[in-house]
Amino acid sequence: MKLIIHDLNQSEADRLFGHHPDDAILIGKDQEIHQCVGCFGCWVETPGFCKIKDDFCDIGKRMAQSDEVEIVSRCLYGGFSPFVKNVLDRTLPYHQPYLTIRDGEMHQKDRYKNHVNLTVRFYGDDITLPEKTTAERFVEYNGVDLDAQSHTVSFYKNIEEMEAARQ
Amino acid sequence: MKIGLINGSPKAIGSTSEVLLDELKGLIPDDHDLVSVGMHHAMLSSTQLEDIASCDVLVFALPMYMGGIPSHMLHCLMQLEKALVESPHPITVYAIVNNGHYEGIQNETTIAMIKNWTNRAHLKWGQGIGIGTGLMIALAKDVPMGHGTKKNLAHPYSTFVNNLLDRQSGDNLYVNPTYPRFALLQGANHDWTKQGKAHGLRKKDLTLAP
Repeated sequence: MKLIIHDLNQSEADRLFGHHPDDAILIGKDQEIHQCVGCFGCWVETPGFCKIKDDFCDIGKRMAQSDEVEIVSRCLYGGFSPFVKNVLDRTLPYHQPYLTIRDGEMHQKDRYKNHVNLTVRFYGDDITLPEKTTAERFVEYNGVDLDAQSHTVSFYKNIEEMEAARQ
Repeated sequence: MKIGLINGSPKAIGSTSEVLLDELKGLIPDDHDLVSVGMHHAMLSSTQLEDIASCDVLVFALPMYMGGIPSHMLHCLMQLEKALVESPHPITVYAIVNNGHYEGIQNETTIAMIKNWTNRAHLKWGQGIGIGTGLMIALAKDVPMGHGTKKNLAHPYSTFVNNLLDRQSGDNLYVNPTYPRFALLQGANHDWTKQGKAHGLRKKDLTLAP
């Protein structure tokens, strides 16, 4: 299964993902999301599920069912836009509370056996060089933190440019 | 000098960021005017925007979430950027970022994002400090700076405060906990099991893959 997380409006999403595979799940701004409050309930009260009752309480499970995760986001300060980052923040139940050493650094243990291929596509017509550098390191960090099989990052000036590259 | 202390934790009370700002306050001489701002939700009030814009120095204290800035804070930073760009402000920006893992360097990218925001808001970048396992500092609230859990924090914090008071820029600083990594890992894992038990869950329940 492929999980596509994006911050596009409906017409842009239709254009970009119009012919997505049947087993792809699209996560966009039309879904209700609240911010992670750092309660760790998803670790010590309802393991694997977020305690916040909205469209994202099972985001960890959805991530676990995916072999591909594609993120399309405006590049903001070298990271994701607020909506996309909110979705990522809410993937805490995808991890176990228990700590391990991965790539020489401390991270959370995997709760699930899957290892996603992470593809991140940033867009923005005025992304600065320091922002690009930050974004590359950020995605690399996410790749390690999610224990992804692979991670790639690319930058586009606008959706049209991304659409051409995706085809 | 007016110093804005901005707490970017989603927790309004009892956060590690709050403790780290309290530690900082203790090192700032009394003749400075301190303004505390809670950035706990996705929107700042007009009073908060005015308070922040009136400062000479801003110190953001925040937890690292998934390698970056927590999402609610991104909303606030966008709002603040817009307000600050409309009229130029000679503000110098500092950041204290903590994470739940051992290595302070894991906060590097989050600090870089705050620096990138500083450039977008046309402000001057000061310095960032990344603190590994910030919770250990928060739990040792009453331990004097430079002792026990706060041993490794004393010197970097002193450098950070001196730069802040002079409105000088400096290289980012990274702090690891005083304790060895394996000891901290074992201790933290034991504590998660304990927290699970408090909710009636066994160790293996915490590793379930629903």
